[in-house]
Amino acid sequence: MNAALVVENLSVVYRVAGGSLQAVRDVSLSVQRKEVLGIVGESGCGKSTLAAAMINLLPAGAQIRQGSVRLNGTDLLQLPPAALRSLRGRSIAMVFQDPMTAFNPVLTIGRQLADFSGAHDPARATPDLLAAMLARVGIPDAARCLQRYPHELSGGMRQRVAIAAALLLQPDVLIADEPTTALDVTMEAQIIHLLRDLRTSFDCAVVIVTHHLGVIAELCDRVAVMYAGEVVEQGAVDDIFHAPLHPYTRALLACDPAVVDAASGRLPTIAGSVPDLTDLPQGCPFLPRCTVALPACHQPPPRVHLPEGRSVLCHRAGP
Amino acid sequence: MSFATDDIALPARRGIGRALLGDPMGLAGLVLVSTFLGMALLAPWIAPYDPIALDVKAKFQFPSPAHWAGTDHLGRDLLSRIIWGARLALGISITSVGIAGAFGLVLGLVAGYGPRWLDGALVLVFDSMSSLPMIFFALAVITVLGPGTATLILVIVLVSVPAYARLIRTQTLSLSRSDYILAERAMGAGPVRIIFHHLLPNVVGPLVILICMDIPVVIMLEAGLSYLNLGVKPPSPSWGNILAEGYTSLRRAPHIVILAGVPLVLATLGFTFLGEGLRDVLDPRGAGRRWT
Repeated sequence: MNAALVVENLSVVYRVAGGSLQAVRDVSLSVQRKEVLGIVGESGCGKSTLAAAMINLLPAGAQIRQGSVRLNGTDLLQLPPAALRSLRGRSIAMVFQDPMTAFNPVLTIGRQLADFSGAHDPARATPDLLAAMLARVGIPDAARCLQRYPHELSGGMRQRVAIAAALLLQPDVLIADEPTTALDVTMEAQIIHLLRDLRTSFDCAVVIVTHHLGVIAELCDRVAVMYAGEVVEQGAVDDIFHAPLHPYTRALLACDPAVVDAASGRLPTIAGSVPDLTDLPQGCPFLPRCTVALPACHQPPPRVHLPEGRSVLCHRAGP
Repeated sequence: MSFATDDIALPARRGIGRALLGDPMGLAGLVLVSTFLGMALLAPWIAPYDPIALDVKAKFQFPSPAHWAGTDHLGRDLLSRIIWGARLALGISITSVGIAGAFGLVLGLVAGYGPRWLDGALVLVFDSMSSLPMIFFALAVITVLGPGTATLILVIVLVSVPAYARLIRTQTLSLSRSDYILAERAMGAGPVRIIFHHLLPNVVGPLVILICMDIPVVIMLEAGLSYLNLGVKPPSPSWGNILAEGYTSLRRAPHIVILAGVPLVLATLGFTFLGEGLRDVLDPRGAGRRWT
């Protein structure tokens, strides 16, 4: 087992007025080198909180209740700030959702890239190396791009630069939090192709957080489906797409806009809404929306482990 | 398409000086401020008379070829006093806002990005200082330390720091929640790097503009305190002293107040224009926006 990043029994809560919001509940995941793990789920299911916890960069008000995030064996959640900073960027890097706001508007691209790498390794901050990195992510005329300010680049270009910045120090793990959500469809396809090419050439583990099943299908090797802060199902992409076991995964896959109901012309949806994370029910959180519920579902669902690293959190999957 | 991007890249790349020259308002500000700076620096060589030499026989003269701006109630040459006054006014105002700006910048950044208890403590200090009526605060400091140029600078620094620090703190607070600061932290940047590499260039522009626009206020404050005999001690030719003395003989020799008022007005306009021009030039987004 040569996992680059291992998340074990992680629980994160947000302190809110009148209690705590359980954003991530007892999540365990791992991702190997050269592997792309997709984390998918609807808005508010805790996937971005999980991504932030993976680099220990949680917003103020978030609290880690239990669990660990081990990067090559080191628990990031226990590290003092200085040691954590030396790992961030060098061993684990992140690409953010909105490339329009992810750059300092008053510094040129070159200055910012130099600053990223210079913080760890000044020898890597030479213009030639930076331009070579930009060329690798498909920026035309990379040397001139270094002189540009962020506002002079398009959204797609900026996201390429953000990816270049994250890969600059050849991290072991790259976390991308909805890297294509802010881009149009053409750009999205280009960025996905880029990420697919890069993961083979950079030999790093990639974690993609998205609500877009198409991105998962195109790019990922394994997928973790999140619902109400829990990973309800995880496994190889092909297995999950072809034979979903959890009713939520099945419902999610059925919501593909490509399968519009011919008779009504309506998009399929999942009835009901996400449960209140400040006041979760005893049993399965998907119970109110589940079409195949059993009486046993009022009890907490068991985690059922299947061959090839697949697991499901459901009473129905049991023996 | 390619020509458009070339054009957009242009304003950001050329120097600040050249960009200022291209802007009519910035150019006017630059010319006025340079003129006053020139007057201040070259005062001993360009002033036609000794600014404190008395010539009582020639008192209250109107402008003439011998005294271009006339003379005051003691027969001192007004033009020379105005030129030397520029040296005092700019010296005091630039020194004091410079010191205040530096302190305000650092304190504001620390309050905005530092730990919450430190922010609370600093804001309490800023608020208590700005809640004191300025003139009484100035009187108190001057009573303790005695009037003079150094005391005046100290008073201006103490009065200005809270305003600057608060501006910087507000900017820092909103910036520190921005995505690119989060991205920096995700790349392993520490607080010192974030404050000095990323926050400082973002917040320094508004501070430069505020400082430029504050210089006239400081000149006025100096004039006011000098009028109350608490600032620059007579016979030093500060513009405030000239105005105060001219005011007593307003009916007999109105040209004194008018001619001493003109540099005050022009200096105010000059520094304000320069501030506006600098704002456009210092902000690369602003420079780009002009083309779209």
